[in-house]
Formats: sequence, structure tokens, C-alpha cells
Amino acid sequence: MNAARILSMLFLACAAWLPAAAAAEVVVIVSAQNPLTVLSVEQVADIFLGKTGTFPDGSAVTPLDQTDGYPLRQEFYQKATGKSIQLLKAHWSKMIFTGRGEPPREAGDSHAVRRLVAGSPRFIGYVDRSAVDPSVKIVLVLK
Amino acid sequence: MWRALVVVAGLAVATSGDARAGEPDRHDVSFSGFGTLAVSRANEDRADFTSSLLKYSGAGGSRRWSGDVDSRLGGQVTWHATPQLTAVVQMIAEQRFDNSYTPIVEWANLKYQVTPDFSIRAGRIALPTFLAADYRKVSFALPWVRTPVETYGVVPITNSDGIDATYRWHGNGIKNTIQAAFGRTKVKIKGGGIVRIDDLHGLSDYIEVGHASMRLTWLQADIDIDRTRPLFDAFRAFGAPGEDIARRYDATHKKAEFLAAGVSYDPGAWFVTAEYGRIDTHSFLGRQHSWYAGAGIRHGSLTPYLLRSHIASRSNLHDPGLPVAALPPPWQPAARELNAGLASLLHSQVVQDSTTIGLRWDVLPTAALKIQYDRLRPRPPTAGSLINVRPGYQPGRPVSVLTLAFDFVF
Repeated sequence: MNAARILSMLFLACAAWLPAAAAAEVVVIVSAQNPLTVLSVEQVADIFLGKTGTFPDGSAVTPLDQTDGYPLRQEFYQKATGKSIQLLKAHWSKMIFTGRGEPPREAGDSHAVRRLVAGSPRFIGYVDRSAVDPSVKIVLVLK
Repeated sequence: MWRALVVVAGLAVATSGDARAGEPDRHDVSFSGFGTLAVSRANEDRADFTSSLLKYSGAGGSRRWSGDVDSRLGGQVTWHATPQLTAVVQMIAEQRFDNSYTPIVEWANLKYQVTPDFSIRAGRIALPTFLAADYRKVSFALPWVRTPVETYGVVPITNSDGIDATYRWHGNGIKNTIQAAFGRTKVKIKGGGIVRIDDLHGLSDYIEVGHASMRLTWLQADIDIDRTRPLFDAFRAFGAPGEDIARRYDATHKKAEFLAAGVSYDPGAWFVTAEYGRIDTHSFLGRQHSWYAGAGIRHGSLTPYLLRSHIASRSNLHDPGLPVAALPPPWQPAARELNAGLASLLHSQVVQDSTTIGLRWDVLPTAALKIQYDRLRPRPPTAGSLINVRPGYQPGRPVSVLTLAFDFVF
């Protein structure tokens, strides 16, 4: 095994480990009044990409985004949908210009999202785990 | 229609003050836009290459370099009147049949969300045909500069005035969206003339399973073209053989049927897409079959891509026409002229293959630069998708087209 190969393996190992250690934990939350207990990654992706308008039980859902530019937003979409910011923009261009939907409303940071989600069983949001309190419940942890 | 836009915008601004309790700031009116600035060069000086048969000119014979092929600007205003009721107006400025860039109303409809998964729309609505048909003018949302002219050109119409209903459901990892549409439209064509499409109705089903998506469409309509009617009326004056020709090729209230199937697989790092479409018009426009297949690899901000497309006619490209020799001599010159008119109509069908390579560079999250090279092979006796064919054009000669495009959304 030559030195370049060892170096590249070391780099890959670090690259895999570093973000996980440094990043905040992203959790998906709904109001404590919502009967829902758990959602799959696919269900969350469908809600945030505008592919469904309902929770699995059929009740209406409104997703809330963190405001553009917050680092948690990029991390959430990468983990939940596998889409880069570029692909996400192309996805919403298709949705907007076919009249099929518009991106989720921007609601600010983790605390602002939690406050809104707590207020209505209709909302769903993603926040840093540290922002969670008893007014909301976690339905998915994104790793 | 500009007035309608102003009224919609005005109403929206007037009502945007009453924020709904308990909801985050929702822009009751949103404005979005898209555009493309592009130039194309074609090495054919006896005809023009362009992106749609409904355009006035393109690159080649009219102008070696042309900005008219793909350049356009679009704007869309969406007004959320209530949580259920939405009004959308989309205007597009691009080169039209009359060589002007006068904006047209691409869509103007009201959408009522009956349940979160069932909605109805009324007004001017995107016509459901191919996978990317609803956003074919939003070049930014396409990997390539334009949708393949062979396949998407089969139905150059992009909207209709009427109603549609959309229902979506999901289960077992399958997402299904079914749409039923009813409408009518009319399109002006270059050189005077109107194509009327009435009694348009159809179904379109969009299925998503993981990274795969598929669209199946069936449409039927009544087509009527006024410009060719005098020619076929003249044929009818020749009695039974002429009437037979008129019946076969006239486009007066003919039933047209369209079928399409498209699949796409896009896991993110790469994608493949292929579509098939066929139209049967029971007229000189023929029975056309078309497909294309394309693929690309996303490498950071760069996406190299490749496309192959094909269109063929399954109906007559030649017809002997009136039996000139069997006619009394004084009628023969007129019959010969009519036969020549029929031949040129039949040759206006599109038979062509093309190969495309290109590179997309996402320079910003909302803008991309594309460079694309197309090599077209129009098949004789047709001139393929070329327009403005001039005397001296050699059927069958391959045409190379180079396009530079800058796409953006805002």
C-alpha cells in the first residue's frame, strides 16, 4: 500500500467522522397535541418536497422551513431527501412553474420553528435537538 | 390580459394585510420568474433550426447566429386568496409566430384545493403530455438546453383553456398523481392561419417509486386547420378521386389521438430518462412516432449529458394524388398544381434523428450555464424539424447546431 493510498484513506476516515462529531443533531418535530408518534425518512421527505399534503393518518400537514442560510437547513435536506441545495432548487422550480406547489414557509431558527409547531397539530418542522421542549415531540431523528 | 394581471396583483396586495392567526408570515402573493439567454449557430443556410414549429425563425438560413431559438423570459404571480383557493398567472415573452416578443398568457387559472390531495383548476392550464411538458419552458429545471425537438415537437401546444382535476395518493412506497383534463385552445401559425383544438380531453398519470418516476398520458382532441382547407376544397371539385384524397388528408375537424410514456431514474449523482410519444391525426399531419433517451452525470457543479432522439412517420410521405393522365387536358395543369401542394404538405411531416452532447454548469444555486452541440439528420423527403426551408435546400444533409445558454430562476 503506497503512501498516497494511506493518506486518502485517512482523509476519507476523517471526512466521515468529523461532520458527525461537529454537527448538531437534527430532529423532526410535531406539536405535542398531534397523535402522531413516528415518521419515516421517506414520509418526512415527501412532506418537505411537497409530494404529499397529509400526515399518514390523512390529516392536513404544513411543513415549516428554517430560513435560508441557516446551516441546519442544508443538513436537514441532505439527510432527509439526499438532495443538494442545487437539486432542491431545480425541484422547486419544477413544482412552482407547474403550479403543483411552493416551498415550505420559512419560519426562522430552531426556536422560532418550535414555537410555531407547538401551536398547531398541522405543523411539522425540523430543529436542533437542544431546542426541543415538552410542547413538541420528536417523530424522527436524522443521523 | 395585462389588465387581469394588474387586477390580480392589486386584489392580492389589498388583502395581504389580514394575516391568518396562528400561522407564520405567509406571502399571500408570491412572484417567481425564469429565463434563458441563449445564442445558437447552425451550419445550414437553406433552412432554420429552432426549438418549436410555432416560431418565426431560428439559426441557419435566416441568421447564422440566432438568439431566438431558446431565449425567453417568464414571470408568474401566485395569489393565495384563501388556504384553499389559489390564483396563478404566468406570462412568457419569447419569439412568436409573428417574430414579435409580445408576452403571452401561458397560464391563468384558479385552483381549488378540495382536500390536501384533491384539487381542481379552471382557466388556462398547462397541457399534460410528456414528463417535462409542464415546465418545458423553464430551461433551468431541465438538464439540457431544450426538450428534444423530435419528441416534444409532436405536441407543440403547451396549454389549453378548460378545467382539470388532480388526485394524488400513496401507499407501499408508491406515489401516484392522476390528472384528468378537458379544454380547448387555438394557436396562430406563421404566414396566417389558425390551428383550432377543440373537445380536448385526456388522462395523465404520474407515478413515483423511490428515485424512479413515470408518466403515462392519453389525450384526444378535434383538430381543425383553416389554412389548408382551400386546397382540399379544390381537390373535392375533381369528383370521387379528389374527395377521397380530401377525406384522407384534410385537417377539418379530424380526431387526433396522442399517447405518451416516459420514465426517469434520478438517484442524484446521475440520471437517465427516456420517453416515447405517438400521435395519430388522421390528416396530412400524419401518424408520428417518436422517442428519445438521455443521461447525465452530476459531478459537483458540472453535469455532462448525452441525448439521442428520433421521430418517424407511419403514414404516407408520398401520394400519387389525382390521376393527371386520366383527366381531360384542360384540367391537367390545375390537377398537377394540387398534387404538388399535397406533396409539400406530406413532406412537412417531421422525420429526423439527432444526437446531442452538452455540459451544464451550475454557477449559482439559481443559475446555470449550458453549452450544447446537436447533430440533426433530417430524413428525405422531409426537412425534419427545420423551418423556413428555402429553394436549394438539400434533403438529408446533416445539420450541426451549437448553443450557448444562460438559464436562471428568481
